[in-house]
Amino acid sequence: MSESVSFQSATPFERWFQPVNSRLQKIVQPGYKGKEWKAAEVILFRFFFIFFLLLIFPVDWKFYRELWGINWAHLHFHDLFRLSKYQTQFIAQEKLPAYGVGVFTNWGIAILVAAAGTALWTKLDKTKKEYNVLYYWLRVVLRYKLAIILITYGFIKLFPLQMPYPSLSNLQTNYGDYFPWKIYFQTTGIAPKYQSFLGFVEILAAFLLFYRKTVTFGVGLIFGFIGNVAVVNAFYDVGELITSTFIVLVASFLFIYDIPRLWHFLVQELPTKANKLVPNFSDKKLKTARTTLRVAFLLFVVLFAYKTFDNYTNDPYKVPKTAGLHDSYGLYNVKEFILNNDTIPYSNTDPNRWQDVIFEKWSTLTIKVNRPVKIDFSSGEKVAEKDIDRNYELAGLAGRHYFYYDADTVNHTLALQNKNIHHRNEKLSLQYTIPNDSTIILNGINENSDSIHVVLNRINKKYMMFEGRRRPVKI
Amino acid sequence: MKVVAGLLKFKHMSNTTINLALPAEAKALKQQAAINGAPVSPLAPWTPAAKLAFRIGFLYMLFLCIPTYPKFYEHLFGLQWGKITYHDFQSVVAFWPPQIILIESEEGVFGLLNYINLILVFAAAVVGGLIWTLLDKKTPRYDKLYYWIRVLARYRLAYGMIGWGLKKAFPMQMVYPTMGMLNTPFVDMAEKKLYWSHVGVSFGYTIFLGFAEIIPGLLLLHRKTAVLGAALAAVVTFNICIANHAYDAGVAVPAAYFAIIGTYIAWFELPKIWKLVVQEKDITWAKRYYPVFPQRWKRNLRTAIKITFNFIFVPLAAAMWAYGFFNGNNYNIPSTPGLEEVKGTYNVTEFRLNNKWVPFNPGDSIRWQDAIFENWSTLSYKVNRGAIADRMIGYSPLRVKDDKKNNKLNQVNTQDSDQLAKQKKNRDLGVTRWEVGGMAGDRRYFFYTADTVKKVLYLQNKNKNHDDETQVLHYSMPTPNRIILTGLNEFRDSIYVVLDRTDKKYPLVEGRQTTIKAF
Repeated sequence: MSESVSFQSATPFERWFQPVNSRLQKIVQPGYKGKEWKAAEVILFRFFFIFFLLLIFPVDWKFYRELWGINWAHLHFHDLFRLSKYQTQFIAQEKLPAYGVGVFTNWGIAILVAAAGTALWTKLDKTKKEYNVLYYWLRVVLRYKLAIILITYGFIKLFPLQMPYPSLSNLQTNYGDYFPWKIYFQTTGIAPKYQSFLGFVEILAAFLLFYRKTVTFGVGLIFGFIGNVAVVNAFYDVGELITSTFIVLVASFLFIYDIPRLWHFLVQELPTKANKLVPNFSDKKLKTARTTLRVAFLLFVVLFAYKTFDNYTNDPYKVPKTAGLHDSYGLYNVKEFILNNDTIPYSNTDPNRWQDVIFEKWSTLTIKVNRPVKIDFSSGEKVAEKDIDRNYELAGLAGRHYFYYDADTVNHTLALQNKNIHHRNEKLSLQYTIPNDSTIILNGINENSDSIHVVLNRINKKYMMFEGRRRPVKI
Repeated sequence: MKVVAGLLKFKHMSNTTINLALPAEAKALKQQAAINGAPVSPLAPWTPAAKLAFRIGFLYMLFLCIPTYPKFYEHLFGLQWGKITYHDFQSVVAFWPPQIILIESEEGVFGLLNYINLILVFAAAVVGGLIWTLLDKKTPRYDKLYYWIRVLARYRLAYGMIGWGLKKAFPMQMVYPTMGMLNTPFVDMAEKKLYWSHVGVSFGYTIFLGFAEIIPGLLLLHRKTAVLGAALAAVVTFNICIANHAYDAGVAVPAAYFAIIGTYIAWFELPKIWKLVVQEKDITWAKRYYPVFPQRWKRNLRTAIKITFNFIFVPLAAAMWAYGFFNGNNYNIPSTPGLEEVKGTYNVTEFRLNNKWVPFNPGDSIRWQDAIFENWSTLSYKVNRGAIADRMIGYSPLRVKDDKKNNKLNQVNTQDSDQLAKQKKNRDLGVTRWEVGGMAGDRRYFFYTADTVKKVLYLQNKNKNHDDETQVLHYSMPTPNRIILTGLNEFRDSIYVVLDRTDKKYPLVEGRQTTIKAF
């Protein structure tokens, strides 16, 4: 590791590391003299060096399983999205608690490993007084890792994919029927331009990290905007606590470099030295590596931007893609409901009597009926090819039952199946007739194999959210 | 105001010393430099462009940071000392920039036209700066004036940020959704209501946002940390400004106004930060200009002013907000306790109108579909009938200058809960109408007073546009979960209503970590 460790006693690791290290040292300009560190700083550095590298460079096989699993011919942006935020999982993340401190178990293990590694390193190397150059390289790794994560999260907001506009059924769901995280998503979702703005800020921060000299400003933006996201994750159980905390942790680590000089200059008003370790890339291999990294990063940005734009314009992954029944989009009052030849009058307490029905723009039909919903606790984040598996519209809320349907427009039949993972066994087979613009009549068999006859009347209502934005309004 | 006092002082001083090349300060600087071993700052004259920019910036900040409308002073001098609440503190720190014209159109309230006054004031500063340039051809630098205008801007911004932060640190600006709201579809609320509520959903997050404003404010109070505080304040308020546009929340201009002041203060050190961080050049001279007070009484006066104002607008203001928060003066939440043991959501099992049984029907404009008793004295129920929406969506700072005409668009000029309370009247028909504000009309919200001896509820519609609607209903509770209401409704028809309590659970309340699976 350092020159004092003789080659005779070197472990294979050291024999490998030595040449790499001396290569990395070549960025030093002639005349540069790094200042010595305090003993505690040396030990802390060793710890964070191991800790961060352990999390960033995946040493577990699950990462490679994902990597090999990618269909590069039909690359989905979500594949890159998942890989870019991947952290080493000593224990598979899905086996850990989804919320609270338990999500950080893998960090705990990394801390233990890093502590042991630090102890060993410190024992082997008693002479090294500073790691100025290695510190530079660690910052490079962290900057790129953070920039890539921010690029991915930025673009899925710039093209509002992460928090799509609420569906009609979502809009018609009572406020109390949402989990807090979904309220947060829906509230951001109704302002797509604001979401794009937030995405733009993340992309801007990524580019500020990409350039060594503007890292300080990138970190400032992260604290101002993305730090907020980490706090939201903690308070609303959004489910991305690890990634958002990691972003803030890395940003804080990058900021440590700036604290002394900003303190000196701003608070103590003392003459302050600028960064002296200006890397010199005259070494050919280092220069090639740098150019490759830079080009790779920019290519990644372009590829990811293209892939997310493509997804947003052609097939937003959280929204089903099959078009709904022609001209059916809307909210319907259930004017008549006959169950096994018994007419059931309007009721908001009857467990069978439908109260209202919504046809979405896509092939989803939702029913409000006084029957409990076993909530889909997921975040609706998975990419699914089939519409029935695209569950964002029903993830994290109750209030309505969501059915996927196959429409046979020749025979005028709808084959419905409940989209909810807990209610998948519910299937309905219905005939539809559309006597006029505002009426749909459904006949057939419901999920309990009872016969139903349902007359739907379109409700044309004005809504506070659209009409009451700015104007005085009677609603 | 400290800033005003400071300003008067510097005006006085500027007349006498402004052209004398600051001999006392220069000497002090040299001495300090000698101690620190740093080279002497080049007290080189500023370039003409820098001087012009300074003059314009100086006047702009001066206009922005001094309250220029009479209402501010009327309020300040009209304070009744025995009856002060947190609102009085907030009115002092949340004043607006000069209101030269007020455009009453939609765009003028919510859109870009709302910025007209910030632009007009800037135009005035440009004109003033040019005249100043014509009149003053001698002054080489403006260190002293620059210092004092930053003092003014710092304290104006600091107290403003702290005031805005306090109403979140003690969650009042954004409150937890009411039961009525939990039972209202997402789409039946105005966007501002949705924005504020999605914050109010999390108590902890609301407090966090409060501190995101308070901490920059506190940093601004100390001149050595002011640049950091100003930069943070500018980032935070810029985000607030954009969010206000996205949700038409009405305070985009005050937020932008704060962001401008923050940027101005941070700008002072930006060239050097740029040099140090981006250009990677050493800073050889970091000393700033500070005024020197050779006389002891001046130093004491300065300390006394500083301590007094900081005490008033930080700990005292915080104490007032805390007192209001913990003692039933949350301005968005009613404080009259509701009828005992009735809180909950009810099904309307039976409804008779003029002795005629009316079946449940979601299309009926009179027949109640459900009923909710809040923890406080509000009864709400759902019918299929619209109402003129009440726009009291939380209390926002004033758009001053007689904004009576503005009522229909954005009813914000209201501290009537406080005013009602001061007159010993029930405050709950005032600004605490938050629960009905920004909501579609088909859920009716009635404030009630209960005569628990005669078992009668006297109800009044909380919606300001329908406050003539009253009902008198007798109540009885044959079983703990059943309430029977009889009496005259707002149309003077007799009604008989049987309510049965439901045990509905709300995912929003239970949260994602709940063990309940079905809702």
